[in-house]
Amino acid sequence: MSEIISPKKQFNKIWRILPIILIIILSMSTIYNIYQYKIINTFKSENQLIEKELQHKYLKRPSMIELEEFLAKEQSSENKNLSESESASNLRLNAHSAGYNMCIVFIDFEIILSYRGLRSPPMPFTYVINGITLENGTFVYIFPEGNFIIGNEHSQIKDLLEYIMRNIALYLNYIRITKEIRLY
Amino acid sequence: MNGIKFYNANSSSMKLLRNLSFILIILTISSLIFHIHQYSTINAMKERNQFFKTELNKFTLENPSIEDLHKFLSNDITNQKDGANWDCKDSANVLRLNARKSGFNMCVVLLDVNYVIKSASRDKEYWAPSTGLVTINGAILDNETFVYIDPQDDQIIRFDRYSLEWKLLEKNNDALVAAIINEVHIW
Repeated sequence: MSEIISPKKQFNKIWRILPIILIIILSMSTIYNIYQYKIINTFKSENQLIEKELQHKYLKRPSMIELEEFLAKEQSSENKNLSESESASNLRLNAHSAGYNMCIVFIDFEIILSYRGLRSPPMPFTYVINGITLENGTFVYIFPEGNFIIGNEHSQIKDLLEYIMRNIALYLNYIRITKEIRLY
Repeated sequence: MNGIKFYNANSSSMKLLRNLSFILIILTISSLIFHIHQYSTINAMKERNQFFKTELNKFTLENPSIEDLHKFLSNDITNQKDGANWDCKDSANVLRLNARKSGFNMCVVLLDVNYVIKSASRDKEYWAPSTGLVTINGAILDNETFVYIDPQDDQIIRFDRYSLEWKLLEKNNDALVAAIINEVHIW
């Protein structure tokens, strides 16, 4: 006496169950969507944070105008009690804070002094200054004591020597740059 | 008639159920498509995050332990470099760069030193004051202790002015006195 279910009835049963199944799937899917949305948001905020931190780490090459503006605002040169290495170090740190890739340049040179016909033996000297590569690839020297820029692509070494000669000694007879080290 | 009414009611509810099912199917499919989209977004963000982290790691330098520092210095060959134009500034610069490559935070220490050195003029020896710039390295260890490192002989010197001045005297045979007047750390 078992009841024979007609195919139409069976089909109707499926139609009745299907919405329930679909509602369950859809609600689960919505929950998963919310979870995924939260993950995306977490990644987004984390990436933004790292990107910001990276922007601080990447140091750029300034244009000549930007460099002049930075040096005009820069006040570490006003402290006359600092040694040349301290001034150079301070200027480099401030440039890094401003996002510019400035380096410290050690310039080794040899001088011969002469006084009343007597000539000194060649004496080694080291000058500590700053340097930076500009946007256009030109390297310029910066004297941290006065915050001024020396050199362009045509006359770097000549200008540098002239400046050093003016600053070193009255009895300078000969000067020659022997080495240059750039410390980034 | 009752039978027909019941059948009609059943039929209209079935129609509703069918329509509902279709709507739900469409919603489920669109939800699945949205899942795929979100999944690819998550993957892209993961990759971006990984890239940023590796980039950031390049800038993150750690303070070495004393054992790590000894190990690094014994493997490093900067102290063996020598030449007519090679001096303490080159050694300190190169050692700092090599330490950075190994992930250690090392600085260059600039020392302005006043010396009293033996000089000779017209066959007479005398002691004369002199100044000099000495460049060495320095590092903060993992226990927050600062140490100096002589890049030319890989010696680790404790953070003490007298130990450092003694070292400077050792390095300069002609000097009788070495006094540090200024010290700058370049990280």
